[in-house]
Amino acid sequence: MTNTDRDRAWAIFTARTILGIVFFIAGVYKVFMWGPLEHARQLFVVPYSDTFLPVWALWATGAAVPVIELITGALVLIGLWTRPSLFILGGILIFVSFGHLLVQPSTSINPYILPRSALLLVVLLLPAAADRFSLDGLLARRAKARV
Amino acid sequence: MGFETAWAVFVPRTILGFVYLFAGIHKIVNVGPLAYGQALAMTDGARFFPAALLTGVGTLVPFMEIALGVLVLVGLWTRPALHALAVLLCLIAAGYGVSGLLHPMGATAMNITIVNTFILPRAALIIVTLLIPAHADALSVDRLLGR
Repeated sequence: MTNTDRDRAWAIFTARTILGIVFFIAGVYKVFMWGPLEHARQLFVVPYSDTFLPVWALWATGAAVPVIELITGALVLIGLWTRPSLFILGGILIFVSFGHLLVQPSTSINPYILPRSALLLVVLLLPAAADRFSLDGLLARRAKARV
Repeated sequence: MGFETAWAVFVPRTILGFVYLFAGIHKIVNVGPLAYGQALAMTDGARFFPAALLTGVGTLVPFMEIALGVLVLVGLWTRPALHALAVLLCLIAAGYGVSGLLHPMGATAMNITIVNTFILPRAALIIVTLLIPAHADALSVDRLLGR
């Protein structure tokens, strides 16, 4: 591993770990302390009751998002199935952007969504193979050693 | 790589160095290293770690910040110093994550002000500096010493 490879691995590790912590902690809070249904009621159903969005969809997505954040946040944190998890989290960020902008000003996405998107993009734009300090990297090296 | 790239790495590295150098100096001058350690021992960390350990670590933190800040600022052993800062920042992010679960703030539990004004700007500076190849860092002591 060259010095440049090592530095790149550290850069990805930093971005991935912080991103994973942020989503995982949010998931733990929403699933185990708040409860997915209460999360759905408070953040999805009530605020969007006057919009064209169907209530069943608000309940379904509001209850699913915390669980997805919990699982994908944990996976990103340890670096396992990182890319699929990032794709899903990217989808959540787009989905939540839509939700925020539907009922709030354009600046409403600045505090939560844009910083997370920036971290996600750093990890996603760097080659997956460069993410050496991850379970994906460890498994890839083991598989390569077996061949 | 030319002067533009050297300047592109010099700017974030110097700002990052100043951030940690002055963070350490302010802790020593305004709070005092021992008082800072004792304050750390009175946080939620005391639920998980012995108070003596937290006091010891907290007392050392300002000096560690100054040492790492100076190294990054002048560009000496830059990459190992950046790796250490990355680990430090991830640990701090994890600490604030746990703190967020104990004292939830907002929908994502973690204090968004801490995440957006403390953790992410430092992470951005570390990541950008790491992603520019070390050999491009011409305006550094490392380069002067031919490392």
